[in-house]
This record gives sequence, structure tokens and C-alpha cells, in this order.
Amino acid sequence: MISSTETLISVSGLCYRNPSSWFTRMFRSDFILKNITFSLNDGESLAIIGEERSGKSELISAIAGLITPTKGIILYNGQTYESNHQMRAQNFRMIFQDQETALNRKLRVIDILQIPLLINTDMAENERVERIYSTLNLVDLPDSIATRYPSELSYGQMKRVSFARALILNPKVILANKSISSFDPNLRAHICNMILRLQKERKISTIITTSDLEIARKISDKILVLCKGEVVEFGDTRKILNSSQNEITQRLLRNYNNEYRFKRDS
Amino acid sequence: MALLDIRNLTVKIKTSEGILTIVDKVSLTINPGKILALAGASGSGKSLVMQAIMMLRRDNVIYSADRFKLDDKDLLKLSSHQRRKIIGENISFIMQEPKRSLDPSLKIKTQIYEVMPKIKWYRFFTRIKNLIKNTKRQTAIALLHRSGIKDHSRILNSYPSQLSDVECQKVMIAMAVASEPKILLLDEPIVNLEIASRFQVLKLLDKYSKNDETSIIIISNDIASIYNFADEFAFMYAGQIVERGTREQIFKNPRHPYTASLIRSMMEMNNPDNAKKFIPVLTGKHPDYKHMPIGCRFGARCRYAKRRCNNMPEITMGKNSQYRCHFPLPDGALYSDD
Repeated sequence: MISSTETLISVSGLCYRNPSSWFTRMFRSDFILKNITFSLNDGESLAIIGEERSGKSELISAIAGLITPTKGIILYNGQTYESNHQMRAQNFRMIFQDQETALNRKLRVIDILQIPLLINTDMAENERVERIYSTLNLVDLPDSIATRYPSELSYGQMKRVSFARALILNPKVILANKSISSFDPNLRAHICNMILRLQKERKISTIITTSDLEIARKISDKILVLCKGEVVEFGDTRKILNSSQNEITQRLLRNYNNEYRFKRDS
Repeated sequence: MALLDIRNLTVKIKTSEGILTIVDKVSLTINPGKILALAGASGSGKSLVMQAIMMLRRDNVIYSADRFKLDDKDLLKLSSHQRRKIIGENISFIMQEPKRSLDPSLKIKTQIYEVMPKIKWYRFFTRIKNLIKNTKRQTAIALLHRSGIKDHSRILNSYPSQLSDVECQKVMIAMAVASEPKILLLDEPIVNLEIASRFQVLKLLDKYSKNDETSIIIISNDIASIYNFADEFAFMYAGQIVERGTREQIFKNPRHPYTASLIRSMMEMNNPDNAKKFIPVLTGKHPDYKHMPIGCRFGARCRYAKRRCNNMPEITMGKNSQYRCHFPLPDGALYSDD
């Protein structure tokens, strides 16, 4: 057993395959995730990178509890998902990829942010409102935004509202699936700064999947390289991105630093 | 001679609170075989410029322009039917999110056959010959091969939901080049794609622009990824093109403070020494289209703003670039620390 005091998340022997009929299962046993084992210490941030169909989204959804793994155990602070559902729901919050569809467009921002509080806590109304405004403050949003609808917000503001919704229960870990790309360089730098500030001030860890290695380098301590559902490499970000010996990682880096990409020395 | 020449393109949108001018006097020219990249904050009107070039009709949108020439034909003098014909033959548009722009209820096969050039009804001998030889399918396969798809039989017989994002994007490119267009418009083609797929898509587009002399206008906010792909860059802010120029000029000596801030953010993000460090960023927010400032639209966020910035700056022609600023930055201002 992995000790529980220091580890934040430990995944051991995780396998996943799409739920399908017994017939397909007998003849085609294609696992999307195969025997994934890693553990993350308290206060560390992780970036999951990999090629297409390498199972990045499945891994992060399994950690978030959105899909049930076929085999294997995920321990959150040493406890399984079943044994302490409440703790997991409060400490591991997910941010979704598409900021437009992630927010319910029929609700105002204040109502969107209230839902997790209503489900997971029994706070009085004034406490809830206080918490909502302090969280909006945390993600650099003005108070006036609380009474607006998502359709009146800009993309960056929508993204911040989804961050606020994830942060409202004071979680330990934020999981984000491909959610920082597709912004212009200024906004991208803004969001990265915000994540760094949350990591430093609130001691929040982030687990992200991304295809922008510069974001991975910027905000994470550890990197997990996946290929066809298996862990290729797991270790320190700087070490892997600067001097990896693995063939698959090298190919990934070569594809990333392709001929069209901006190079600093040119 | 320019292939596409647009002068003072303006796009207005009718809303419940009156008519808003979103795109304000944008001028674009593009030469055959060149690649122009449009970048800027979300909501700065990049996608609307694309839709205006395609002249996509929507009830609440009004387009106007002083000049709109495609291949030396003045499109403004033609009737809307003729104009649509010329645009349809010469320009192809690939919209954002390939998965959503393909029809989910039809097989890829059907959708590709739909865009392939039709044979006229009176050439029925050719039609019968084609039916016997199954030319339609052969052409579709050839198109897919050119766009880098190898297992054509699986792709042709599947629905968009069964394919991955890159495959959908490649199918979209194959469909767009089926009519051999002179101009290809792309709206965020590489966002949300994986690392290797981005490279593949860019390589494919580069091949088309080099071999067939197709001009490409590409919208992308990831300016680091398309740095060596585009020949020219244009940056938009609040519905105006604030700076436009060749790659060397723009990235070495940007004149407009907004361009400089974008490039600086991009460079800081790409600096490996900056891991886990805060980056200086531009403060303030994009102006609202309902209350647009009278003078320079970037004025409220610009740290070099002076009294003269209360007047709208005109476009100044520089050596290799055009910019819209009263106080252009001097050479080397990008790398000085202040």
C-alpha cells in the first residue's frame, strides 16, 4: 500500500475500456488505458501530454470520477472514491474544455456559483453570497458580474467563471481538460498567472491535459507522457522537456518544435 | 497585382439597441500563393471579416465596402447571384470546429460527393461513362489522399462522430480544395488539435499554397505555432486592423503597442527560463462595442497614451508595415525593459 500522509493522488494499475456488449468484449479487448500507475505528492501540479487517442481525457475523467475504471484503484488522500465520496467531491473539481457549453446559459453567474455550495454544504444564504464574492475576487472578476448571464460575458470572463465555480468549495486539486489553449497570447498569460497565483497562495494543485507544452512548462512540476494508453514517462517537467531519452517523448517534442514554430534564437 | 483587394470593409450588426459597427474600415490585399495570418483578442471581429469576404448572408448583418475586387473583377458592380457564383468558385471557407461544421447525419462519402463539381446534364455520355467507371468515388479517394488520409475506405463510410478531430479537419480541407479555389479561408484550424496533428495540418496547407498557388487567410491566436507558416501578419483590435506587415518586420520591430504586448506575452511564455514565474501582462479590458471610445481604441490600455490619442489615428504606411498609431514604437522597443 502507498502511504497516505504525503500523497495527494495515487493511481495504481488503472485500466479502462469502453463499456460495450459482451460480444465485442470477447473478440476485441482494446483497453483505452492500460495499467497506469503514478502518484502525486501534496502541492505538486501535473500536466498530462500525449498524442491523439492516447487516453488523456479518459485518464483525467477517471481521476475526476466521471468514468468508472474497469480495473485498478485511485486513492485520493489515501481514500477510495466509494469510501469518502463527499471529500472527493469537495477537493477535486473539474473545469471543462468548452467555456460556452460549460455554463448554463439560463442561469445568472451568482446562481451558477451557488449550485456546488447548495449540493455540498449547508451554508446560510449570506455566507454563500460572501463566499461567492470572495471567489470572484480571487479570479480577478468584478462584483458586477454576479448578476449577469453567461451570454453577456467575454470568453476570458466565462473561463474565469468556470474557474470560480471550481474554486468555490476551496478544493485541493483542480482538474482541467485542454482548457487554456484557444486564447490569444495576452489572455493565455493572464490565466497562467492566475493559476500560478492560486498554486502559490492557496496551495492548490492543478492536473491539466494540454497540447501546448509551453503551458505545461509554465504551470506544472510533473509531466506524464502517455502513448496508446500506457505511461511512457513520468517525472520532473524540466528534466523531461529538456533532456528526455525516451523515443516517444522525443518524437512528441520534435513534432512540437516543428519548422513552423517560433524559435527564440531566430 | 493583388488577387483579392478589399478597401474599407465595414460590418454592422442590427441589435435591439440600434446598429453597432463591429468591423470598422478594414482593408486587406492578398497576393497569389501568400499566407496572411489574422490575430487578435476574441471578439475583435476576425471571424466577421472572414464571413464578410464570403458574403455569408444573415438577416441582421449589413456589409459595405468601397472596393471589393477578386482577380480584377469588381464584385460590387455585379448582381448578388453573379457575385455568389464567382465567390463560390474561387473562395473556400473552413469554419471553426470541423466536427460541428460537418453534417452529423450524413456519411462522409455523401458530403464529399456533394461538393465535387457537377457534370452538365447534356453531357450524358460522359455521365454514363463515369457511372460505369465509378469516377465519383475515385475522385473522392484522390482528394482524400491529397489531404493526407490513407485509409480512405473507412473514412468514406463513416459518420463525422466516428472520426477524430484531425480526420474531420482533413476531410474539411479535402472538401474545400475540391473546387480548386484561389483563396482558402481558415478560421482557427489548429486549435484543439493534438501536437502532431497541428504539424500535419499546417504542412498540408503549406503544400497547397506552394504547389497550387492558393492564397490562404488564416485566423489563429496561437501566433507561436504559425510563426514560420504565415508570410504576413495582421493584428486586429476592437474591429480595426491596428498593424499589418511582413513577419520579419512585425516580430522584430512592432510599431503598435498592442502588437508589442501580444508578441511580448508570446515570447515570455515560450521562454524556458520563465517556468513557474509570473509574466507581465497587459491590464484592462477590451472596449465594449456599445460604448466605443472616440479616439484611439487602444488608448485606455496603452501606457504611452498622450492627449493626441483622443483623435482617431489614421493608417500610416511604414517601410514593411502599416500601423494605426500616433506614437509608433521605435526600433528595438520590444526588447527594452521598461
